Amino acid sequence: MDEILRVLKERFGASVIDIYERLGETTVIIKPEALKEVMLYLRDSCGFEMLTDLTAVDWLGKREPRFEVVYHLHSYSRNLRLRVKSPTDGTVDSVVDIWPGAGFMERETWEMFGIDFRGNPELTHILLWDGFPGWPLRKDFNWREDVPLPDNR
Amino acid sequence: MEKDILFRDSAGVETDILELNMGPQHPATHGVLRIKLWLDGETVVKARVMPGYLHRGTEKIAEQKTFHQVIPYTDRLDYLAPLTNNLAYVMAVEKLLGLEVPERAKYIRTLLAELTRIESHLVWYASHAMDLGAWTAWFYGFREREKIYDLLEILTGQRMNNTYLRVGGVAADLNHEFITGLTDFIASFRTKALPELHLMLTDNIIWKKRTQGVGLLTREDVLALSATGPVARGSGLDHDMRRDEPYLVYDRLSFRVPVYTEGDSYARYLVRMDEMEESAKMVEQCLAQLPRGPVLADEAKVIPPPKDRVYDSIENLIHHFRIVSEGFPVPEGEAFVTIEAPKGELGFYIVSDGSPRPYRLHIRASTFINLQTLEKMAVGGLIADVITLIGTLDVVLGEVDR
Repeated sequence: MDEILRVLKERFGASVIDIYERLGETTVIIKPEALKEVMLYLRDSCGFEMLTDLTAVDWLGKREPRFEVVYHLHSYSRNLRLRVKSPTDGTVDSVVDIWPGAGFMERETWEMFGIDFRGNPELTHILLWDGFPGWPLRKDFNWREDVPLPDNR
Repeated sequence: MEKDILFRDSAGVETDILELNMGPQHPATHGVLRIKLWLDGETVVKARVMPGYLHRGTEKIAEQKTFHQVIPYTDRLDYLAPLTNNLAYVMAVEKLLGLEVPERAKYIRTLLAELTRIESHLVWYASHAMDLGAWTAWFYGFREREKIYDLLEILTGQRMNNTYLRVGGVAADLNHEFITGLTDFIASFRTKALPELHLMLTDNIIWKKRTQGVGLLTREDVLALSATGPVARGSGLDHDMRRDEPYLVYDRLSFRVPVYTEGDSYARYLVRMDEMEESAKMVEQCLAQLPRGPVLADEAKVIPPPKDRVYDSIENLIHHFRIVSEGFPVPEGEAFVTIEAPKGELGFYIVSDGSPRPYRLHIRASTFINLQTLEKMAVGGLIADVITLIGTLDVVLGEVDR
């Protein structure tokens, strides 16, 4: 793992914001502009074959930029896990052409947070119905009042 | 799919693509799953999974609840394996707290996780078989599951949605009735029931014809589509978190990880059947190794005092009231814990801002992500095989939609 982090720093030094390990989990924070390049490198040269999870966190009023997109990668060949985070205002590059399995996860993150995954060919609703107003997992979404009743279709 | 594509069948007649909605109300979808199919005759040209009919917003609800109050919501994700959902969640909270769980509680958790795996696989066995027309197998699967539910009722007070795990341990110690009942059950399950289940389907020619070569997934597909659990192991991905990233007491148990390389529905069937055998062995080992000791950690900041002491001391009453009403603060930070749940890798990603409520809780639902493979597996197959695919993925809509 140290080796991977060293190479990552060497290669993408300007794009790596921070690297730290807490509670036994290694986190790399990457600038969103370089995200796709780094992900491709992690998959092809570092052995992270699978994208285990993709989600986001809304830091409204606590951090700038507001959102953080969180990726959890898994390397079966090396038995390693890595968390990659990318702070963004609401647009990141899609990783669906690197891991097709990101499809459902990006659609869910899009409909819950309104984060635009550039390059994802079908950002449509998956758990909510088409035309759902608002982004429910954002912190400024009022869950008591903003949830509309679906019209019976 | 473009409407203007026309096909010519073998007789040279021009045909059109038929769009068909399968579900949301369909007996083989195990809940309310909608699949949109584009058909050329009986062959599937394209499939789109449209879940969401059971979406309850668990992740949003969790942000309003204290860490203890979230546990019952996790039961209702994969409601066929509530105890493993509890487990993944409490392990994530304990990781943030840095809380060490007593040995006996670890053994009890492992034992229940494996018992739950058998229970979940039995429902899969029964319903998968019934979907493909094998009615008898259904009764045999559910008969065994019923015995497990009776045992869980003795232990936890409820058949489903047990909410038995607590942050720091388990709610109550095992009782004598449960242990004797479980010992009898595992013995009869291994010697009698499991061979019966095998006898009905494993060498059954109809079963083989319906499942062999249906829903092919290569190892590369599995990696690309993030599939985990029996779906991955049926395609030759030799990885099991219990062996490769051991948690609880799995490093002290001896078991085999079944892996098949065919990548079809029959291979996934064999993986799950073998897993039931291994899980039964693990339950036996846990019972044999079970140490004495407390079942809840000794951490007054997180765990309320025992109920009998609450009744006769004002300090304990206040202590209990504060933890129950306000919750306990969890240090700032984030944790991602995944476990090998019956249906794949179940993960909880919790971000805490130091308050008694999770700032963000994300559930990495195994079946939601496994369901993506259906869109790939269905293409080129027959419409009747879509039923096989839903069964072989072992979807539970409570977890898919959360």
